Amino acid sequence: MKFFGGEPQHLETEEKPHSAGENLETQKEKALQSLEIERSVKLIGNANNKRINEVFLVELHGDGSAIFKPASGEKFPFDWAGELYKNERASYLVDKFLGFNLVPTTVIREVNGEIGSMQEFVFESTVGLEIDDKLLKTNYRDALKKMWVFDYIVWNGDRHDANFLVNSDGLHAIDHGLTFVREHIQPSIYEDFYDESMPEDIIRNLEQFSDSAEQQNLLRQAMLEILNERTVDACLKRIEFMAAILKKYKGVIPKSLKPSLNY
Amino acid sequence: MQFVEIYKLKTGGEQEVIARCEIGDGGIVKCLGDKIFVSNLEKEGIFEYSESGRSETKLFPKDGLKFLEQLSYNFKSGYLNASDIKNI
Repeated sequence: MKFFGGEPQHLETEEKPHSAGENLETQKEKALQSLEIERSVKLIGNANNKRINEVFLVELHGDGSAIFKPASGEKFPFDWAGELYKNERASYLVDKFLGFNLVPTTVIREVNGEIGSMQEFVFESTVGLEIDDKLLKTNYRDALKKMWVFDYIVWNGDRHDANFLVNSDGLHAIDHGLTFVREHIQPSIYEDFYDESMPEDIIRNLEQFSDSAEQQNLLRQAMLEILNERTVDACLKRIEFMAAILKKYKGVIPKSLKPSLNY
Repeated sequence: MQFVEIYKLKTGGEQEVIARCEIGDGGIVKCLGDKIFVSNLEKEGIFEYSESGRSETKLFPKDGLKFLEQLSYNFKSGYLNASDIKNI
């Protein structure tokens, strides 16, 4: 089934990758927030399953496509129904402020009277599960390490090889509805990389963010618009903790520290 | 016979079936489709989800109907979606 005619369009508003601490609303965020929706189609699979969250593909007027997940369509897990779209946005904010460049641009927006998360569509992508495992862990090792650290920071309760994508721009982490999960639930990561050197850019970015009270405050304020104070402050503490570990252990997270990677 | 289809969202906006998992003799699921995808699926399994979220329990084709039921909880991002269980 083909939803849209013509050639697919990237979100044309090109921007440089985020630097750590970038806090202004980006051009892509503005576009996702304000461009008129030309068409919106509920995707097969979720459409028919009343137990699973709804997902729509939307076409933006003149510029690109996006994935829209309405709050009203959140049916699972039942404990979190109605909250997942906020976690999608919060995860993007963390990614943006830390300059990890893993999460496609994500905003909260109303579509046809429904509020939900709107995320830039990742073109020409392959899902992790479609790639040979050895190849993935060789060719994208640094990106996977970055995603591991990111998943700890956002306390991701649902990472697996069907919710990250790969294309010519690199690795893209998606599907963050089950982030900032309850304290007693351990993060569910894709792979861990204890005792391996972490990529230089995340070491640098975490240190830079930890050294900037201003950036921390900006992220905190942005997250408080959608999450409660306890959740936000726990996240910021995890960022600080991770930055401290990487500084103390020269860019490595020792396996001996695993029990201390807490909420 | 019960089966589930797994759809991939293509760049052009269309969804195409990249795999189909069906219950065969003995209640074991057999998946057919994209070679690497099916191989990864069968080798690594899928997670079991419940009302409170995801457990670390993994399910494999040998788990039969439970595996089929859980496919739609695992593939729900939009880029990969799984259908409800269908019958033919």
